[in-house]
Parts: sequence; C-alpha cells; structure tokens
Amino acid sequence: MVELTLPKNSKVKTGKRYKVAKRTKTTRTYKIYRFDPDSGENPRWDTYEVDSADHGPMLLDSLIHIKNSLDSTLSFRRSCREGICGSCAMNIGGRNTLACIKGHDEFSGEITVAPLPHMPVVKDLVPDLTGFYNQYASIEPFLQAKTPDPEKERLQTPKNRDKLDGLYECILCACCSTSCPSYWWNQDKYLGPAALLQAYRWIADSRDENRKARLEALEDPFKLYRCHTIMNCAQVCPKGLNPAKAIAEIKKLMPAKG
Amino acid sequence: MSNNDAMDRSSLSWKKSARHGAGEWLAERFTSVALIPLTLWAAYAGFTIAGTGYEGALAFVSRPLNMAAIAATVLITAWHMYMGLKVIIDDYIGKSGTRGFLIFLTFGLSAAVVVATAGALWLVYQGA
Repeated sequence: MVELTLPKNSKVKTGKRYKVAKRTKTTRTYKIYRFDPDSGENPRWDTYEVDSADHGPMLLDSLIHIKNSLDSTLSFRRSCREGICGSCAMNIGGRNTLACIKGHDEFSGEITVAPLPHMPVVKDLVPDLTGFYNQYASIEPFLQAKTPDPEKERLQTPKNRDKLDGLYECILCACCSTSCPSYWWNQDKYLGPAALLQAYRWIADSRDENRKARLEALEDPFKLYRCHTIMNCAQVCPKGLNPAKAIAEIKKLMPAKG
Repeated sequence: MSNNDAMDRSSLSWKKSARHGAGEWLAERFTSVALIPLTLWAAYAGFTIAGTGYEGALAFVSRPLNMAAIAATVLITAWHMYMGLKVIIDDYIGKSGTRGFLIFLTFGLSAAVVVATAGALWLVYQGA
C-alpha cells in the first residue's frame, strides 16, 4: 500500500562526518545511507569527504576507498565491477544504477548514495531481494518444451533469435523494479518490470512451447496490469533495456492467447 | 516494511493468477477510443444548445440521434470513469476491505449517473 510518510524506525537522522584535512579541487563529498538493524537505531546519513585522486573513476571505486581507508563498517554488495553481475545496484544521486559503471565525475556537488528504494534493508546499502527473486522464480525462467529433446541443440532462425535482443541482456540488478512506483506500492501483488521482462523473454522465445500457460499464469489485474507505463524502468536500466515495452508486448498477446 | 513486503510470498504462491485482466484492459482501450468522437460530439452539443434556453435544449435532446449519442456518451464515460477510479483505488489502497468498499462506492456512483441519465432521457422521450 502507498506510504506517504516513513515509519518511525525508518526516519533518517544526520550521522557522522568524515572530513579531509584540506579540501582540494578533487575532493568529493558522499552522503551515504547507513543502517544497522542490530543497533536498534534509526538509519542515518553519514558524510564522507574523499579525494577522488586517491581512487579509480567509478562510484564503486569511491565506496571501496571509503570502506578501505575511512570506515570499514560500511556494507555494500559488489562483484564483477564491470556491469554484468548487478550486485552493486543502488540509488546514486537519486537514481537507481550500478555503482561500478557510474563515474563520480558524472555528478556535481554532494553525491547521495542509498540502497535500492522501498526494499527492506539488510544493512547500509544492502537491500533484501528475497521477494524479488521469488517473483523471478515464479515466471519459470527456463525453456519448456513438450517435444522430445533433439540430438543437438534446439534450432532457431536468425529472425526468431533477434526477438530475444533487448530481453536476454537483463542482469536482474533490480534497478527497474525498485524504481517503479507501482512496485513500491504493490510489490506483494505486482511482479514488477524485471520479472515481467524475463517472463516475456521466454514467451518470445520460438523454442519455448509453453506460451499459452505462461500467458495464463500472468493474466492477473495485479501481477501484470499494475504497469501503467510510468517508464521509470526504462529510464534507469543500466543495460539500456525497456521493460515497459516487454510488458506492453505481453498485454498485446494476452487477449488472443486462446 | 509493512504489508507491501513481498518477502512473505513464496515463488509458488506467485504462480497463481486471477485468470482475468485482459478483458478489463481491452475495455479501457475501447472506452478511451470511443470517447474521442463522443467527447467532440458532446462539445458540439454544448455549443449548439448554449443560448437556446430550456425549450431549445429539450428540442435538441428529443431528436432520436441526439438521444442515442447522449446515452452512449454517458454510458461510456461512466464505464471509463469506473474503470479509471478502480485502477487508482487498486494502486493506492492496500487493505482489501477498504478497497472493496471504495470500489463498491465508485460503482454505485457510476451506475447512478447512468440510471439518472436513462431516467431523464426516458422522461424526454415520453414528453416528446
């Protein structure tokens, strides 16, 4: 349900400030969301002043530098550092993106870094994505065929293969779903852009033979039709995909599913 | 997080679907498209009636084609309004009891508009 104010234990306080001895032209200021459920305290904004000459060009480099040299208690997920694993998805400068492919020089002034919006927070910048993964699992993201397995691979024409472009590249970082207001208000009923884009990835696959059942499983006023083409998903996708278009394609197929 | 927390749901529970939604989606599109000419006609009717007084308005409404257009405009507008408000209520009201009550009220309001219009047209038809 829509929440217009934060619950008492979610109100964010001002936190600590880590200052540099002397500010220079290359000094950047990061305002980072901190939350430790074990402490029982409300979340806070900690501020870190960092000389960007001391680390690499990306926001993830800044965070790793802060963790290594200023505050080892800062928690965040990261792995591939090249935009393919989706681990470092977070809200940077008010927009969901991957810290590893976002340059700190793309921002002016203070840079705010917060976890993906409207998700339970495990600690600091680490959101709990259990619900998100359950939604993904429910769309059965694997090829389903009734015909016996061929001796080699299941063949596909280049034209049919092209239909998967813009779909298969999704890395499940959750930037899209957690930027969607419909998902914020109804994530217990609405599958969200990421799961629906993945659902369409299998519906559009010429080798999959379970299209009708896949569509029937999605026909639901809440699971699918909460998408109101707000388009935040397409705006924030770090891979440049368009989940809203995939959802629109599912909606177009739905009345004629037979 | 409150009741919008998806964590309590298993992937198995997500596989269930209400098995409807496509019809409502088509109806939203149908009423939207139908309302384009009907709204233009309503504007034309408004300009035509303006300044003609009660008798002039009555004469305009009494014509069978105008009566049919009024009936279609009000019916489709009410249907469109009900569906639009229902979407907003579904989006923003989480408690199922409150949601159901508000949807019922919206339906009642839309139905009342249609019934009142039908009644008014019937009276005009009887008097014509």
